[in-house]
Amino acid sequence: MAEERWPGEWMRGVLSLCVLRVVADGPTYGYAIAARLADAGLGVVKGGTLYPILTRLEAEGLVSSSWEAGDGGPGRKFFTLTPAGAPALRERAEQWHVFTERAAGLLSSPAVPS
Amino acid sequence: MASTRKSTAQAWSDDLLLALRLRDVPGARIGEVLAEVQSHVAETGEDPRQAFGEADGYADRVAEALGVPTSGGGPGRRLVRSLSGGDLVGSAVIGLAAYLLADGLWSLGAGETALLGLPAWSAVLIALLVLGVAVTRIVTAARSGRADDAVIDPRTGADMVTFPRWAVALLVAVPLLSLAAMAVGGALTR
Repeated sequence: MAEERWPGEWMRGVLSLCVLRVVADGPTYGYAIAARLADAGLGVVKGGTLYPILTRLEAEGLVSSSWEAGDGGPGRKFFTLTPAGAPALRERAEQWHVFTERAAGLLSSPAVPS
Repeated sequence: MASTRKSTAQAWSDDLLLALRLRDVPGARIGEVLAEVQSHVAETGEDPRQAFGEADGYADRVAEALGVPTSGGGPGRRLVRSLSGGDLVGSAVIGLAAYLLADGLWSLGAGETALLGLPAWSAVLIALLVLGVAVTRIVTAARSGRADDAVIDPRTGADMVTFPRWAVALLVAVPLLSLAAMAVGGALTR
């Protein structure tokens, strides 16, 4: 599959919500989150973009983190959805659906020749 | 010594550490960020600069994500602003005392008895006393500062910024050797 590249401003808008959604599938760590986003067709997300998003989600209390020792490696930081994270994800995902439907509705309306 | 030759990954990590310190990010949080970088690049095999960009820019993003208020200006300005009047006075006192001590040792070496109207030995004693107090204050402050806000590795609880023994030896040996050289230099003028 060709590498997807989406406009940066779109990614900034939706990435935090998508990361929250990936974490909702169960405890996971940075590299696996990036791989999941790439599989979903959202393109390559660099560590420099991903970790500040996770930091912000943790500061908001929507995810929590803990370190697990790796096999001889430097270990992995696992992120888990918190009880406050679940309703926040539901609410924001619903909002996002409404938003994209409205945008799609506008974009698909035939242009009126003047 | 092997540890003095640093890899580019280690150099990038050190730059990030300094950049986060200058942005007043808490030490424990810096440890988290450094561990995240280590873990990520070990997993992907990327170079830290490739995955995280320039250390300074990444520190900006981390500080923003944490809501740490970023004071404007470059690293130089931030460093200057973090200095207090006490630091400047302390530096001046240490400089003058070190000069007096060096001059006193030279005079003693040269066999002169008086320095600035004082007996040379008493000038040396005064300078030693002032320097001793000043150095003790700095060491005490540095130790308590490190304990308060150390960069702790979240995986092991260890301090990630160790001060190697050779650095301590260098810091102690260079001034002592310089002062000894003053006495020797004075003696050579006899």
